[in-house]
Amino acid sequence: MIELLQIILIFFIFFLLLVVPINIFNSNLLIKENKLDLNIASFNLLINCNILLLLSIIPIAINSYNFLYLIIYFFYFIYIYFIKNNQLQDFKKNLFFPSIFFIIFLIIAINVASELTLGWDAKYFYYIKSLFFFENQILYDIKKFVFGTWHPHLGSYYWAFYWSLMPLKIEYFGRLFYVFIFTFSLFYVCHDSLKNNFKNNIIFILLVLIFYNYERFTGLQEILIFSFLAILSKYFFNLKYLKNKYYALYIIMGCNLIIWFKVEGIVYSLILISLLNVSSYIPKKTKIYSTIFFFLLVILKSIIYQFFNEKTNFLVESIGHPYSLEYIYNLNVDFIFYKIKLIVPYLIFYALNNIFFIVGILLLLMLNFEKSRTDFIKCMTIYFILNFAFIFCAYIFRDMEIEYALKTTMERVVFTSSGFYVFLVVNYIRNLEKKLN
Amino acid sequence: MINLKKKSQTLILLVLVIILSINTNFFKKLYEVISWKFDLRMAKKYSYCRGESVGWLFDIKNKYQINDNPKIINYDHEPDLNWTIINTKKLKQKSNKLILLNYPGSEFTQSLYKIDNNLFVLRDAHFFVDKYNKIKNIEILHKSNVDKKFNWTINIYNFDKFNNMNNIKTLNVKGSFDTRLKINLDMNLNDLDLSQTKLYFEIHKNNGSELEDLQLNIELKNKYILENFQIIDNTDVCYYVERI
Repeated sequence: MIELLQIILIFFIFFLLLVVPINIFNSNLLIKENKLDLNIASFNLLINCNILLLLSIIPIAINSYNFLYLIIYFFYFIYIYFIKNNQLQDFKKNLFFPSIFFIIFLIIAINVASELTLGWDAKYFYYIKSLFFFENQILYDIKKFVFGTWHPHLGSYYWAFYWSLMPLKIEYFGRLFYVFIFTFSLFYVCHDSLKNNFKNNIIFILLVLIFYNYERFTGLQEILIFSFLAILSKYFFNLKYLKNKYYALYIIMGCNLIIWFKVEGIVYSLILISLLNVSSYIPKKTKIYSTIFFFLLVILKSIIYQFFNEKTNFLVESIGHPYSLEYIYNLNVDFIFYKIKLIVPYLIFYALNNIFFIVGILLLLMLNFEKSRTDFIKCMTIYFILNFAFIFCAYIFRDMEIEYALKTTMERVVFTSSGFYVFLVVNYIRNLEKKLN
Repeated sequence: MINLKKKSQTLILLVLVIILSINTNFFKKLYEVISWKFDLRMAKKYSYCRGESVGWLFDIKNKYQINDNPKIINYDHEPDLNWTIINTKKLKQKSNKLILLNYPGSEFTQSLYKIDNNLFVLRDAHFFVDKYNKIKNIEILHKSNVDKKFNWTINIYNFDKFNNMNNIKTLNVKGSFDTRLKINLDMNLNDLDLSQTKLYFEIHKNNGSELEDLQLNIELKNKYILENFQIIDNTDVCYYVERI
C-alpha cells in the first residue's frame, strides 16, 4: 500500500516539472496565442530537464541536494500560482488535465512496478550508472566502471534522482520518470490545450493502447529520445501557427537533452538543427544563433566528457564505439552491398512492426503529392531522408558483425526514429474529420 | 441534451480506460503491488538458480554480505549480471571469489547450427571465450547406424570484420564409424578472433559425393574446474567459490 501511495505521490512530484518555473496560465511568452498552457507546460519540462542535466555534472552527490530541489520547486509553485496570482480557479477548471493524464500514468506505472525486469543494456550500463549516482557518487566517478564511457549518463541520472528522492528507496521509482515523460509527450501531441477535448482524449488513450509495451520501460534510453522527438516534432508544426522565436530556443534545449541520452542522440539532434535551418518561419538571424548555440552545447558536452575521462575523443565517448576511421577507409564496395542487402529486409521488417514509423512514412509519401505542401511536411520529408541515410550509414560503417548488430539494435533504432512521426500521424487523424467534410 | 452528450463521452472514455487496464493486466498487477513486497515480486520475476539466477544471487549477497564485486560467470546466454551484486565504491578491488551460474561441469557439449548438409556454425562464439579454454573435440553424429567408411575434409573458418574468410584449421579425416565419431581438435579459443561472433565448420567428402544427414557437436573444456576452488555456497548448478 505504501508503494502505491508513493507512486501517486511521485506523479505530483513529476507534475511540478510541468508547472514551474513558467506559469502555465499566465505567461507572457505566448500571451497573444490562445491555447498556450500546454505548450508552456512542455517548455517547463524542457527547462527542468536541462536544469537536472546541469545538476548532474556538478561534483555534488544527488542525496545532498535532491530533497532541497523538491522543496524549492514546491514553494515556488505555491508562490507563483497561489500567492502571486490566485489561480486556484484555473486549476479547478483544468482539473481534467491532471486527471486523464494521471489515470494513464498510473496504469503504466503499476505495470512497471509489477513487471520490474530490466532490459539487456539497462543491466549492462544504465542501471549500474544510476547506481553510482544513487550510492552518493558523482559523474566523474563513473570512469571507474568498465562500461562507464559507453553512452552518456543523463537517463541514468534521472533514474537515480527520483529513485533516491522517495522515502522507499526502490529503483523503479526512477524509471517512472521515463513513464511520465512518455505519457506527457503523447498527451502533448494529442492535445492543443489543457481544456477537455473528447476526440483528443480518445486518440490519446488509443495511442497508449496501441503503443504500450513494458519492454520500453526496462531502463533503456530509447523511450526518452522517442518522447522528446515527439514533443519537438510538434514544435516544428507550431512554428507555422505560432511563429514564435521561442520555439527555436526550445528545440535547441530538446536537442541538448537528446545528445546526453545516447550516443546516436547527436545524429538526431543534427537532423533537427538542419530542419530548423530549412524552415521558412524562422528568421535567418535566429537560425544562425540557434546553430551556433547548439554547436557550443555539443562542444561543452565534449569538454565535460574530456574531463570525465581523459581517453575520450572529440564528440564521441571513447571506447564502446563500433566506429573507427580505419574501418571506414577499408570498406570495399562488395562488402557495402552485402551489408545493404542485409539492412534492407531487417529495416522493412521492423518498420512494418512499428505503427508510427510505417504509417508516418506512408502519410508523408501521400502528403507530398498534395498541391499545398506545408513547411511542416517539407521538414518531415527531410527528416525521413536524413533518418534513412543515418540508419544505413550507422550499419554500413559499424565495425560489428552485421547480422548480429541488426538483430540486436535495428528494432530500437526504428522505434527511436518513429518518435518524430507521432505528431504527423496524430495531426492527420485529428484533421481527418475536417477533410472528409 | 448537452449533459447527455457529456455523459456518453465520459462513458466512452471510461470504457477505453477499462480496455487499457485489461490490456495491461492492471487489476492483477495492482493487487500484486499492494499485497506483495518489492523483494518478493523481484524474486518471482527472475528464476532462482536457472537462467539469470537473480534470486540466488540476491540470497548469497545478503547471506555473505558480498561487497567485493566477485566475477560472475553465467554459462547460460543471459544479460550481464553484475548489476545484482555490484558495489560501485569498490570497483577497483580484485575479488578472490567467483560466482558460477548454470555450471555445466568440466566439459560441455554444444551442438552446432546446421546451415546445409555441409556447413555448420557456432553462433555467438564470443560468448564461449571467457568460459571455456578450448574446443577439445568435434563430435559427428549420423542418424543411420550402418557402418560407414569415410574420407572427409573438415574446414574450420571464420570471417574478419571486412568479410574476408580466415581459414583456421583444415582436417583430413578418414576411417569408419557407425553413428558417432569424435575427432580430436584441441583448438584454443583464446587464439581465435571471434569478434565477428560466428565460427564455421564445413565438411566435404573427398570423393566429391553428397554428404548425408549429419549433426555436428563440439566439446568444450571448461576454464573453471571446481576442484581448483573452495566452494563457499552451492545450490543446484549455482556455485559461490573462492580460489584456493
